[in-house]
Amino acid sequence: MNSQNSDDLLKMVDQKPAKEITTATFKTTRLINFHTIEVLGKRSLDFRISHRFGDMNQGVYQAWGIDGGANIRLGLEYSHDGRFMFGIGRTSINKIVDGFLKYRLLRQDNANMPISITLFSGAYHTFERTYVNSVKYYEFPSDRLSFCNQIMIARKFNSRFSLQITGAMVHVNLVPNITDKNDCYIVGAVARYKFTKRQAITIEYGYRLNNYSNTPYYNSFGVGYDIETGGHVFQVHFTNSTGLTEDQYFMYSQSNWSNWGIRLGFNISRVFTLQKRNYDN
Amino acid sequence: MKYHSIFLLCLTMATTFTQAQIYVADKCKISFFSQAKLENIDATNTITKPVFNAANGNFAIKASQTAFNFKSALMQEHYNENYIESEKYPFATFTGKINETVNYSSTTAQNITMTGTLDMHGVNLPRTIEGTLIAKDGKIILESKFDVKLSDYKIKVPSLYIEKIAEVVQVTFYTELVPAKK
Repeated sequence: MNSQNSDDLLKMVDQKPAKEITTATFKTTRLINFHTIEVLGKRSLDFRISHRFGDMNQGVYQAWGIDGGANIRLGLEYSHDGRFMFGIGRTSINKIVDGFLKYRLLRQDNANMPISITLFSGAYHTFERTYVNSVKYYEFPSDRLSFCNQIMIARKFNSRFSLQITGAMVHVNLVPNITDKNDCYIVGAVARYKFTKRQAITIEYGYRLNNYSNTPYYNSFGVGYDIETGGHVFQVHFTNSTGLTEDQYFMYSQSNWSNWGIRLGFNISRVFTLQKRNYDN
Repeated sequence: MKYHSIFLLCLTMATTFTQAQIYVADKCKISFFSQAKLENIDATNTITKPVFNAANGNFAIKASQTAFNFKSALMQEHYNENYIESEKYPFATFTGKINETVNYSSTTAQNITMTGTLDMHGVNLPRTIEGTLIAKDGKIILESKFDVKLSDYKIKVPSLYIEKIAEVVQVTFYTELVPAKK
């Protein structure tokens, strides 16, 4: 009866794989411009640099947009519990300061939850001058504000492929033309395909559902490449959107892919952990 | 009927006797450490419960890779996603047997070696691990420190990596075993 060898013992410690939350549906909190369902890990501080060059159709004289029309956002984002995060940022074009809140409502797991849902709410404030050529642009302080709310639903189908559907609503307090509407509704799709352990191709598209302006604006569309090197993630991409905040890229993308109105862009994310130890609980 | 009960009694006794030789972990802590340029990597797993048979010195452990807790959430994600590939290889197991004769009536620490197989990341390798055994107050304490070479287990560190990771990881193991109930 005492002949139990280690293999029999192993059967005793055998365990069914426990219910596990699906992690890393996307590499970072952004895909290209669009937010993903990802929220930073516990006590993580993310410093983000997002940069977009000018339109490629400016031609060789402007080095296909590298010389001019750049837009940059510097952002600082934090999560304490890995479920709720907030961030602030400053974007050069339109001098926008943005702040957002993001919350993981549901998390996909290997038992019975097939999807992840994250909620997003952001506010944007422009610091442009009130008067431009003695024309008063911003009558009231509230004219400087815009807002965006989003619901993001994603599924990681396997370790390579993830898909997300985004529902977004943007409200702009002050629109460029008197005939413009203040609200825009967007349905977006975001996908990533990892072709090696650390590299992925990404794609995003935002379809605007309502007609809010007579000025021709275009749906935001981007394709990109992600590479991860430890604490950094580099994202290089092409997109027709100059704007880096939700109110801009969803609603006011002024150029389109058909005439090379696209630009080269990159995001760099550096994550710092603000925690000494984790396992002493 | 009478014989039947005696037989049952004997069987119960026999089972009790066998069970007394089996020890399960009351406490267990597995941690590993790796020196890196920017941030050292260390992780701890406290939920794994190994089993030990004191009668013949056999030992088995099965540790869930996702149960390793890291200081940095991002590192934990990288560990599971890029290095150990937890989705494909969810467990690390070790099964082995103590080579020496252990004196369970002594309360002093005894140096032991355990020979067996360490299985992780889809690679099965024979290992002999050194450690100490302490039998005290009906408990058995096993302690060990050993190294794992990443290339042995086909765990690749890419060359463009900014956080250069040491090729050898130090594993620390501690468990307090108590007789199995029932």
